[in-house]
Amino acid sequence: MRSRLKWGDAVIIAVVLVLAAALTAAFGAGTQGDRLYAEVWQDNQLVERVALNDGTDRTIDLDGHNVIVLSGKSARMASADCRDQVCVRTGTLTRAGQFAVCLPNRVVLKIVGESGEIDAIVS
Amino acid sequence: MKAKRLTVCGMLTALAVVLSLVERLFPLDAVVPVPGVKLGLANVVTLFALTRLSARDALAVLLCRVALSSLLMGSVTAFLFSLFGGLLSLAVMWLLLRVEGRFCSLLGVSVAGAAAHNIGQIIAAVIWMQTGAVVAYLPFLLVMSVPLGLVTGLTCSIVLSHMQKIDFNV
Repeated sequence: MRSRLKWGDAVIIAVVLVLAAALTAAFGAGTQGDRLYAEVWQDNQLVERVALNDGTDRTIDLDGHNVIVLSGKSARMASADCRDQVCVRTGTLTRAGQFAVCLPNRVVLKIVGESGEIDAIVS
Repeated sequence: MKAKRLTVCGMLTALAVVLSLVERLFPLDAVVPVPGVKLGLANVVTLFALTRLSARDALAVLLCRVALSSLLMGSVTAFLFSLFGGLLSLAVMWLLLRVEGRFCSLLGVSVAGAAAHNIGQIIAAVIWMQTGAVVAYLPFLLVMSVPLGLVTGLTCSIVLSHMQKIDFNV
């Protein structure tokens, strides 16, 4: 059997896991904050940015290709006209840093967090 | 000899396409909450072709498999992603197979191949989406590639030991 484990297997697995941890740490930034916003990106351009609060109730229709439903402090890709439906199966996003990607239509739905003070100055 | 090799390559391609189809019927991301996660059964074929045939044959089988399965069920994006993932996976496994037996076992080769497949797909996704945002998927996929790579590596190892029993040679 060629499946008898050797020390190098542990090294390979360790490298993969360390890489995963490093990437998690690198992308963990900007996922904090008490104010939540839903951002809709299409072709790497920001299409919509909506503040999420308890009263939020909006449906964003991207020319029928993707339908995004914002409800309360949550966002989800309600439908997509692609075959893989990966973004729809991603489900409901509720926390900052979560996102759903529709690769065929180049659409990204993500939730970003911001701390409240900056908005207080504006108001 | 040449005809036999060609036949085996054709059979492996057919097998890989069927495995991709079967995989579609049981979407793993319905069980594991990681979008787009797959078992990677077709990788068993690539690994087998690399060990029992040659890098050139494995590449030919891979290219035919990606083209055929994309035509059958995929889209342009699926083709692009499978191609990038498959090629990177093939390259990494080919390199590691040179030290297999001394440095690592077939399982390590398979895990590295699975991880490389995910990295390749994410590279394709970054190019396609023109944003680095999709890299955030990579950590989940990398963690999943460890158990999934072990499963496919073990599968390939079992297949190889059976092939030895029936004295299969190309």
